[in-house]
Amino acid sequence: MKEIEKARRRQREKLHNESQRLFDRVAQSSSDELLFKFAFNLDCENRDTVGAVGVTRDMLFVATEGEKNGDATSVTAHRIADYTEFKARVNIGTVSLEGERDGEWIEFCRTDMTLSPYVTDAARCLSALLEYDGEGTPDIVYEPDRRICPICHTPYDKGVTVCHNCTKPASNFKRLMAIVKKDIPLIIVAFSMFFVLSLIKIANPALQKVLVDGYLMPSEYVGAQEDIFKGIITVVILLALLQLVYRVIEVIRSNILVLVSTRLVKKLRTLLFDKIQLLSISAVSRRTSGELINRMIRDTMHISEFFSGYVPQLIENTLIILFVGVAMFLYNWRLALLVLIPAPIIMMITRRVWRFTHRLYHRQWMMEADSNTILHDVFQGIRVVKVFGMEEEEIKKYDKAIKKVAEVSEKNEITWAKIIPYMTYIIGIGNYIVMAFVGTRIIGGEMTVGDLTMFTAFTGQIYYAFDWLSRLPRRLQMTSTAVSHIFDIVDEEVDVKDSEDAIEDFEIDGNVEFSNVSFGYEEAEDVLRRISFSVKKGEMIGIVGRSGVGKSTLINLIMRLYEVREGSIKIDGVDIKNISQHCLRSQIGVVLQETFLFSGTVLDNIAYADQNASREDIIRAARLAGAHKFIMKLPDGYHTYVGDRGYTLSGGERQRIAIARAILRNPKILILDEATSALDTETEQIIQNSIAALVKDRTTFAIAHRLSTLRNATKLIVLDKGKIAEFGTHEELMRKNGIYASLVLAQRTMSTIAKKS
Amino acid sequence: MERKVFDGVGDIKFLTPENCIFTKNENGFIKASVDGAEPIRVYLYRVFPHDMTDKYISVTDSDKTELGMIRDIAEFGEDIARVINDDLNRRYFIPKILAITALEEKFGNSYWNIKTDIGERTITVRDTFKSIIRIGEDRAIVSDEDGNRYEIVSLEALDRKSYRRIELFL
Repeated sequence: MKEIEKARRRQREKLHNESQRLFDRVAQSSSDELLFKFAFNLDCENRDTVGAVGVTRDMLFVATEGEKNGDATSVTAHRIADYTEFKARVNIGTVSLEGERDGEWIEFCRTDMTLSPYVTDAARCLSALLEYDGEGTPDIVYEPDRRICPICHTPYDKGVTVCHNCTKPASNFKRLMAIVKKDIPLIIVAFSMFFVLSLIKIANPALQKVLVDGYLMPSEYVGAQEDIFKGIITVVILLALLQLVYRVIEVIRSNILVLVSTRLVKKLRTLLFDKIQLLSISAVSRRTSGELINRMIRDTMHISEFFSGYVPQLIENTLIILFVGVAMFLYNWRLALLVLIPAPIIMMITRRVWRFTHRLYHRQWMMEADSNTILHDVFQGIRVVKVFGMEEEEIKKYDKAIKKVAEVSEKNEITWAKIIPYMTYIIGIGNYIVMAFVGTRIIGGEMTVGDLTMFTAFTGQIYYAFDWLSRLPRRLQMTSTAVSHIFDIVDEEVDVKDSEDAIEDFEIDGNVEFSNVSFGYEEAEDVLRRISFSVKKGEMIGIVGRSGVGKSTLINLIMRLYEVREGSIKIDGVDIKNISQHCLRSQIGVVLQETFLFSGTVLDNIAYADQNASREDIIRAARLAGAHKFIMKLPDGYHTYVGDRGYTLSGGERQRIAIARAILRNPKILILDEATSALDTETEQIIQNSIAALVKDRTTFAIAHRLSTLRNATKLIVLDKGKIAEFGTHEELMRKNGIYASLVLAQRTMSTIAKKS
Repeated sequence: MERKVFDGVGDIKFLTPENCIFTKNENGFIKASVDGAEPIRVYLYRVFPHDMTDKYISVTDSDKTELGMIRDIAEFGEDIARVINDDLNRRYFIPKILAITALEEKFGNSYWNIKTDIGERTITVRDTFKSIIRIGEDRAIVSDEDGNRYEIVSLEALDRKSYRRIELFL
C-alpha cells in the first residue's frame, strides 16, 4: 500500500520539480508579475512531456521541454489582446487550452484529466482578462486548487470538500463520537460492563480448575467425602451464578448499545435528509435517487450494526486477550509464551484467508447483482420484450448470467470447503501445545489435570479472540467507507447559499432583468453566454429555441435553482442573490411538463402550494384551473387518493392540478415549462383557458415547442447556441424572417401535412 | 448496403474524396471543405469508438452540427488517412495497459501501478468493480478517479500475474 502511495507522490513531485525550472524560465521572460501559472504534462500528440504556462496581465507564456537533455527549453509568448476567445477543449482523456486568433485556433497546451482543473480554470480566467479594460488590477481569481486535495492532489468529486484518499478512519469515527456526545455516559456504563463480563469469562476456567484439582482429582487428601460433596456443589452453584450474572449484564449492555446505535442512526438520517433538502438541484441530481436512498438507509444501517454488533465484540475480545494473557503469564509464563508466540503468525494467516474469501464472495455478489439487473430490466420492460418478440434472447441472456453465477459460487463453495477445516485446525493448534506442555508435567507432578482444563479453556478463548480480531479490519473498512459516504454529503458545500444579509420579506412586483448572464453545468462548457434582456411587470415572455439550447436552464436561473456563473439577474432592481431563496421561490409559480403528484389526496396536492389555504380557496383555484369538474367525478372528490399507489389521473388532469397549485400560490412570477406539450390539442385548448386566467397580471415566462401556445406572449426570446438570437414581438420576428419565422413556417407545414393525411 | 428508412430522411451524408477535402493547417488542426465550400475547422468523433476506430467517423463543425460521416478512413488514401488518424489520436487519449505491477485495495478504492504504452503510471480507481467496464469478453476500459481512461486490449493477453491482480474485479 505504502509503496503505491509513495509512487503516486513521486509522480506528482517529479512533475512539480521538472515544471519548477520551467516556471523560472517563464518568470525570466516576463517583466510583469505572473497572475497565475500551471504545469501541463502532454504535448499536442499526447506524448508525455513537461511544460509550464504563466499568464501576466497582457501575455501568455508557454514553456516546453524541447528534448530530453533539458537544455532546449523553449518559451513562446502570446499577446492576450491578439486573441478573440480562449477555450478549454475537453477531449476524451485530455483537456487542451486553445485560443482563437484571426479566425484560426491555436493550441497552447494539453494535459491528461489529472491536471484538467488547472486548464479549465485558466480558460475561464483568460476569457475574463480579454474583457479587462486595462484600468487597475484585473479582477480574476485563479483557484483550480480548491477542487484538488492539498495532500494527495486528487481532484475532489464535484462539490465535495473531503478527499476520499486522505480522510483517516479515525477522524471519521471521532466525528461519529461527536454526534453521540450526549450518550457518552451510557457508553461508559456499557464499557464498564465489558470489564465485568471479561472478568467472569476468565473466572470460569479458574473455577473449573478448582473443581478438578480440589475435589474431583485431588492430588492429596482434602477431607471427608461429605466436605468434598459440599465443595463441589458450592463451586457448581458459583459457576451457575456467575453465568447468570454474565447473561443479565449482557442483556443490559446490549440494550444500552442498541439504544445508542438507533439514536445514532436517527441522528445521521436527520442530518442527511436536512442536508439533501438544502443542497441545490445540481448537487442532488448529480447522484441517482437510488444512491441517495442507499446512503440514507444502507450506510446508516451499516454504522448502526457496527456499533451495536462489532464494537462490543471488539472491546470484549481485546479485554479477553489482555486479561487472559496476563492471567496466563502470572500462572505460568513459560506456557503463556509458548501459547502466545504462534498467535501473531496464525492471525496473519487467518487475516489473509479472510481477505481472500471476502473478495471471492464480493465477486459472486457483484455477479448476482448483474443477473438481478437483467431480471429487473426484463420485468420493467416486459412490454418491449414481448412486442419485439425477444423472449428467447432474454431467456438466453439470463441463462448465461445465472450460469456464470452458478459457476463462480460453486468454485467459491469448493474453495471455502477446502479452507475452513484447515482454518479450524490452525486456530486449534494451541491446544496441542498446552496438552504436550502440561501433560508431560502432570506425569512429573509439577502440574495438575485442573491446570490442563484451565489452560485449554484459556487457549481456546485467546485464539478465538485473535481470530475475530483478524476479521475486523475488513469490517472497519466497510464502516469507515459508509461513514465517509455520509459525511461526504453532510460536508458538501451548499452551492446556492443565502447570504447573511439576504432579504427575507421582499415583495416581488414583477420586473425582471438579466444582465450578461453566463452559466454552464460543466466548468468548461457554457450553456448560456452573456444573456441580457429585461421584462416589465405583467409581460408574458415566450422562450423559443431548439432542444438543448438552454431554455429550461434560463428559467432554472430565474428560480435560482442554480447560481449564475457571471452577470446578474435582478428582480425589481434587486439581485436575486440578495433575496432569500425561500422568499424568492414562494413568489414564483411553476407548471412543468411532467407534473409530479405526491402520494396523498387531490386536496393535499393542491394545498402543497399553500398549506394555510382555506378549502374555499382550494376549490376556487381548482375551478379556475378547470380541474373542479373532473375532480368531482372522482369517487372521493377532493379526498381521492392519487400518486404512486393511488388513483391514476390522465396527463391533462394532472396538469390541471398543477395549474391549480400554481394559482393557489398566487405568484408574482409564473413559469410555464412546456406546460401543455404533453397533451392532445383538445385538452390543450381547455387548459389554455385556465392558463390565460393564470397569466393575467403576472410576469410570465413560458417555454413551448408548439409555437401557437405562445401567441399571447408580449415578447419572444429566441435562443440559439446559448445566446439570444432574436428578441421581439411575434410580428417583429416574423418580419425579420429569421430563426423564429422559419420555426413557425416549419410547424405550419407540419400541421398542414398532418391535416391532409 | 445501406437501408433507406424513409425517402431521404434517414440517409447518411457520406464524405468521400469526391465531395470533401481534408487538410491540416499549420496549427495542427484538421480542416474540411465539404461540397466545395470554404474550408472550416472540423471535429472528428468515432461513432463506434469501441470496435470501429477507423470506420464511421462523424465530422462536425464547431457547433456540433454534423457535416457528414466518413465510412472508412482508408477511402481517402494513405496521406489523408494519416491526417484523419492523427486528429483522432489527438482527440482520443486512452493509454493501453500493458501490465499491472501492483494493485492494492483499501476502502473500496484501489491503487494500481501500471505499465502503459506511454510509460508507467500510478492510478487510483474508485469503486473498482464499477470502474472497470468490460467490452465483449476480452477487452476492458479502466477509469481512474481523475477521469483518465485506460484500455486493456486483451485480458487474455495479459501476463499471468497482472491478470491475477485484477481477476477478482472482473
